[in-house]
Amino acid sequence: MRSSKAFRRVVTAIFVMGFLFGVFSARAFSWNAPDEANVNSRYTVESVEITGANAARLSKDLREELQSYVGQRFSPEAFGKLSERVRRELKARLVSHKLKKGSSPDNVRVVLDVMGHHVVLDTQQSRLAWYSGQGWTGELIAGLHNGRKQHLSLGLFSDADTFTERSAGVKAAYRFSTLRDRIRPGFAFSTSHAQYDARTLQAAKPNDLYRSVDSFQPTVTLIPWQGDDREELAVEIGMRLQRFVLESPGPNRNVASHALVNSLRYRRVRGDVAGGLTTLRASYGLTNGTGALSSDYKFNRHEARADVEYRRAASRINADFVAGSLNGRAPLRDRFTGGTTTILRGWNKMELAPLGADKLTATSIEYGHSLKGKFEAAAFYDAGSVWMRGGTATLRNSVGGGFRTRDGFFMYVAFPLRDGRVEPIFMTGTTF
Amino acid sequence: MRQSRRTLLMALSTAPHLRAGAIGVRRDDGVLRVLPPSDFHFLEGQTLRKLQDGAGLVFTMQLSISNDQFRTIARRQVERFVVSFDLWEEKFAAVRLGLVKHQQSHLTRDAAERFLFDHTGIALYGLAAGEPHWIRAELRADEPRDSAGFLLDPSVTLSRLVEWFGRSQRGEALRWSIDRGPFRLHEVER
Repeated sequence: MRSSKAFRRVVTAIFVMGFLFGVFSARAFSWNAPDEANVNSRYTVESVEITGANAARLSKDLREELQSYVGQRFSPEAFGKLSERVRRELKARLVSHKLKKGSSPDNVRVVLDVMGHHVVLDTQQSRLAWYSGQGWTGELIAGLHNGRKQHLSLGLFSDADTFTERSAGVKAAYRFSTLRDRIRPGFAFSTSHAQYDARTLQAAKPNDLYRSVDSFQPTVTLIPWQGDDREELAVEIGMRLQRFVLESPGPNRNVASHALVNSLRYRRVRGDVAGGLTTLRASYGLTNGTGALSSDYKFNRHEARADVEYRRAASRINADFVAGSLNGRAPLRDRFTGGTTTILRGWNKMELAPLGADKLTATSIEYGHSLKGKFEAAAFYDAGSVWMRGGTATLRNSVGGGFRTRDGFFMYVAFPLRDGRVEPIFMTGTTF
Repeated sequence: MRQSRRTLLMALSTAPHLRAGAIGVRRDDGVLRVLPPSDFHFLEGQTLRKLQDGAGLVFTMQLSISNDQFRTIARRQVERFVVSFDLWEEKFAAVRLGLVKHQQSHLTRDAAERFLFDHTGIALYGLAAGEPHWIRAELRADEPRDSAGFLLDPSVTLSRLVEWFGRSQRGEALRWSIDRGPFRLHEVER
């Protein structure tokens, strides 16, 4: 037994040492030629140009960085790294830098040649989260995209965070873009089963709960305006064809919740991290359950969101606001929830509204300060209310804090502020 | 086993840029160097176009000497070089990397190719002068790649790992190989 443990330790040590050796030898034995070994490194960069793609599609930061090399000595290593960044931002198959003679001797023009679209498999929409009292949420979504042209995703999910109920199933989506990315038709499909908390089961009426739901949503996104730094205004129009199988034991358990879905989205980015980077996102969505589509539910659901993020040096401030209103009779899934990992953090959604709510107003302010590496210490204050039409809105507050990283990991403790009781809620999660 | 060996030999024989030709050898102050055949050129085609686009290409040259037709290697020497093409002067420059750097500029194409052979040699000390020997020169051109940068990047995510493993290997090497033998060391001219 003891020898087996020792053996495992030796194997682990060999593995760790091998990995470290690999990393260090990769650094020491780089295939890249040192700058001074290339005879052209004595020439001055006269201009940096991009061919094969629209340079306006690059982020402002990267465009400014490319231009910052004008007037400096040519560095093959720096342009090798910049080419890789351009390739990643444009999702191109290959970007290579080429030198051309400049307008006078001792000057060269650097041309970044963008070639083809790179078919990339990613998992960027995948996430894993845990919220004490409400359990795990996991989504594993594989996306296949060909630059900005086409995007296909397929995945499995078990989500206890977004809706009142836990929803588990599969989903798929496809979209493509045309007319220089100004029109993006696509569709999304999902099929899932629901699982309810005891408090939801207790509060529900016979036809409130469903067993399973299939949803098909074809949409077209139009981009009437695009700014110079991936800023854009987007209008999405489409319909949602949704069919539920109810939990009730009656003979006709299939109901439809077909609706028109429309949204307006705006995004604006200004400045840079050194001098102050402001990112503004705003959206308004209208879901209209209408008899014209033979829907059994007739309702109008309005939802408005806005969030501003300001970054400067090591500091970050986020301010989020969301408001929603529901008129008519809507399925459980279209109702609003609070007490999730994004809205009214720290509260339990079963305590706030076990059947969801018709009205929502919530805001959040979060401050983060970068620590060593990519870690950030953060503190937040959330306030808001979810309530039913005709009922009374009760203001809920919570505070909390923890750690997060730039690539999506977070670990927070939140305290709902109520009279006389301190009940911490722990939440953690990551995106992939 | 025999079949897999045959398959390997067939794969090698069809490998691109694998050339066989007679090479000369010379002694230079206790070191054996090789002279490439006059019709052997590696700065041509795709490699030349990359150099003319301003790239600095890394070449790895390996000399191996054997006394049993390469069943075993008696001694080998590996050197790394960077070759680049001066855009304005339209001449080549070559640098031997390592602790003691050697570099030369304003070279013609032939002189740049010869630089690599002139700066790679196998020490003769300890090799039997009267025995038959075989010598092989192997040359490989590597495109710049970002492997070290990728491993050392602190923001490596699952998505980037998937992308990295999924993408085609762009830094594909171009290889050349030439050899000579048998010859005796005491017959080799200075």
